[in-house]
Amino acid sequence: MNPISYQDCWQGTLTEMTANQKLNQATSSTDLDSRRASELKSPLVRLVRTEPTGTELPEAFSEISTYYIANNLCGLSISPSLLLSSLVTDSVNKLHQVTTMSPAPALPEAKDITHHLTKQVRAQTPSAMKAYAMLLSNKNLLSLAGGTYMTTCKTVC
Amino acid sequence: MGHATDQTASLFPLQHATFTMPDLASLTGDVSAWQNGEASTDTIHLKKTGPGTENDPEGLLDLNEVLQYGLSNGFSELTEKLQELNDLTHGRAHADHAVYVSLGNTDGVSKTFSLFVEPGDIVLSEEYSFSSSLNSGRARGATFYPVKVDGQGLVPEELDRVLTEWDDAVGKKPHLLYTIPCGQNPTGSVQPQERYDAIYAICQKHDVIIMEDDPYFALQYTAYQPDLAAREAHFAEARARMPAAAATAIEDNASAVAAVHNAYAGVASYLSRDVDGRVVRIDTVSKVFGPGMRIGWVSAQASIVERLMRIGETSTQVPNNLGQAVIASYLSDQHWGVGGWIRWTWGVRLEYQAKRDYFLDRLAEYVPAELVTTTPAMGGMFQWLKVNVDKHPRYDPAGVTNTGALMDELFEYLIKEGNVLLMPARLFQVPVPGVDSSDRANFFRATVSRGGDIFCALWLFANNTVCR
Repeated sequence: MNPISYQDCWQGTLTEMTANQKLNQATSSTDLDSRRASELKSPLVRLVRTEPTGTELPEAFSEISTYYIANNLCGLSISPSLLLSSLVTDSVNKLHQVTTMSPAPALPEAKDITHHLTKQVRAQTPSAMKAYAMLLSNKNLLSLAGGTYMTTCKTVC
Repeated sequence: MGHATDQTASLFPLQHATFTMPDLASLTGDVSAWQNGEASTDTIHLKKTGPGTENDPEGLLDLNEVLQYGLSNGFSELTEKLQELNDLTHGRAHADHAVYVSLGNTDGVSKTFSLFVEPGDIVLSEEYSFSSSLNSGRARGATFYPVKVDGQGLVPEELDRVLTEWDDAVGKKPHLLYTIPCGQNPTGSVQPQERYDAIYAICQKHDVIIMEDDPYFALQYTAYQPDLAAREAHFAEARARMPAAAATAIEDNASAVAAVHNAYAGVASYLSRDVDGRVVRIDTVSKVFGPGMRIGWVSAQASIVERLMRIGETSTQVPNNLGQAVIASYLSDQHWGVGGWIRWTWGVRLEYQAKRDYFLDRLAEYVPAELVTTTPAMGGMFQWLKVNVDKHPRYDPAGVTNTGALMDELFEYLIKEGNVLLMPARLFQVPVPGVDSSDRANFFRATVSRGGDIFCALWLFANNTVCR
């Protein structure tokens, strides 16, 4: 099996998943880490789009979703500060592209209707800290983030 | 899931909750056993894993997690099942379907208006529509513009005419259609399939987003049958169509159950034909489970659902986790499964159809047809009653008629003299801006769900409509 590049991830050629599976990463797992990480899907994919490194992912990841791969980016050579920076500064205009990566073969892709969205909604950004903390989710992370970020903490507490 | 508790979760003062529900085997298409307390039951367990609950039965979700903050788009245990329910009852027409768990229909409507409505926007809707939703849009600065309806719902030719002949002097051309196509509130109409097709094509032509508000989708009825024997035979036949449930949800044939459901009175939705991803569909468990659950779901293309999540993060944060956990448990293969859910709604649908029939029976018995006419509701919980106000001795046909004034008078009289509250059309009317629409206000909305209470209401209604 060929190694998968970040570029593959952006273009949605990695796996064929339903959009709902993309939005709920933990489709085949009851593991809290993976469920929590589903909230990360947008910033993570945007991160990949924003900061390509050319680094190839391990072959084993080719069988799993883009989001699982994204969830494991912390194991790669991207610094946390870069990740956070990307999450916070990412262009809102790219948001709509996030979850339209892997159309099922027999069905058409949905059209881009984001021009109908209000300016306010287009500008609304994800909780970057939450995304960042979840991006780093691993069993050894000691999160003191607290509050609504406790959902992240719980994955490692 | 059985993960270790943490210090915060140990302070949640709840460690084991159980919920009693009708079991899968009891879902025969007849809900009377449950109503009478005679159905066999099953139990949902939600326990907090940790000290004191080591020997308790485990459920689908752990209270450690349920009582914590969570994902803004809902537990995956729930969203996956809702997507499965969507697939079985609507299918898919594009590749990017996703669902967002809301806090019920009102929340779904409100968030969807937040997506698309800028202050000053004009939104299209049926000429009579659900006032709460209209107010939700108005709160965001929308003005609603009416499209004419008839006994089968929104008239496609009228929609096309309004959009084609749109005068920019009125405002920016609408890009959003708010519609209740099935069990329309307040008119009770269900659009035939060809109207769905025609209206979807018109919205494609004019690049209009369809906001499909469909709380009554599960409550679609067959035609009113006034003959009691024929009606009873119809209900018996309808109940017998539902195949017997398997021993467990995982063995139950949900596809076969859905096929029965879809073929009975079912119209397909806008979602089912949404090849563009221009439909935002709003569902709720309120009408078939209980409105106090405050759980619903919005179905749309994934990029739109992603925006709903962002709205949720700064408003409701997390859909009620306890409610989610309960509904997810019902839908899980530990209990009903999606097939069992459809079985339940099948029984509820037949029950409401029987209530609709009862209402129409009494209407025919107590209210002369020359005074009040109606088209039998084909879905939902409401019967739309047309008051033939032109028969009133004080009716004045000159210019803009006095229909509005007479209807207001009747509305108040019914309350004061008979303790009867009917919802006047005025509440649901969407007027053309600047145009007096009181001529079209000669309707009341009545719920069909109140059973015997309607005797008094209808007697009073009939005896005071034209006689004063």
